[in-house]
Amino acid sequence: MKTKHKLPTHCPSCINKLHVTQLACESCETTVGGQFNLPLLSQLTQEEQDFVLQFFLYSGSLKQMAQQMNISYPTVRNKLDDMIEHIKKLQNL
Amino acid sequence: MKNYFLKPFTYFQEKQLLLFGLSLGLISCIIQLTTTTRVIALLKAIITEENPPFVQNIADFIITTITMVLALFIFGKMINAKTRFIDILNTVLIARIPLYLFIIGDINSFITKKTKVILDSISNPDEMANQFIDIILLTVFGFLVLLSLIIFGYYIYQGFKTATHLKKTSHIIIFVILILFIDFLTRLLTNLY
Ligand SMILES: [Zn+2]
Repeated sequence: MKTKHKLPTHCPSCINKLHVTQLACESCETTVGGQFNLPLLSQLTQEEQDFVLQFFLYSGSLKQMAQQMNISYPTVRNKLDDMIEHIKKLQNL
Repeated sequence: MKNYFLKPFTYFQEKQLLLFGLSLGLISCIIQLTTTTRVIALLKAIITEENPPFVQNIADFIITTITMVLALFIFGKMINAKTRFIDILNTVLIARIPLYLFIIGDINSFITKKTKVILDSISNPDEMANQFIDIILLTVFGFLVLLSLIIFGYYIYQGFKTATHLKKTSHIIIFVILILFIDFLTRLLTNLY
């Protein structure tokens, strides 16, 4: 049951936030039901998740990230600031 | 393809922008030696009697750049504590490039001479008719100057937005007023020497 589909975070029908109601074990097919929130990082957009990963891999150096991504330092810094704002909003929901 | 031309402050590194801005500034000061134009503020050039000395061109360039950079840097810091001096400096250096049109148009005192001839003939309708082509030429130049002011506005806004992450409309309004005010102030400052 290996899938590589992206985890949807918002309802395609009404745009509301999705949460997990069922989890399944790959080996014995046991399922668990309930109400589980998606982890905070999974609620970010794909672009934001990629950014977090890059940020982590560059040891948090915005200067290095800017050079590797071929964009200016303040552009990277502004992206990060927008994401911080977004994550703070998600935390308060 | 990334649009380097429309978004230089997004795609170029700070050292590239600085080098480019300073080089073109220096070249403009050298070209200015062949003109009778003095740039007394970012947005204002005046006609002088003689070709300005190189030292004066450089002094004008430094003073007009630095006053604007300092004002925008202080305002930028108020909007966003993370604002860096280098980004504001680059913004002003790059944004003023289109304004070098003032200087390029007056190579060999071209515009100055044409303007003087037309002004002298203004009281004489017959002579005015002879200046027809020159009048059109000056009108086109005036139009280009207007265009260069718009391009300046575009780049200074882009640069400042990238440097400070400017978002609020109220900040944008203050930004515009600040530029006009500092530009006026610079004119007084450069008139001191
Ligand atoms: Zn299992």
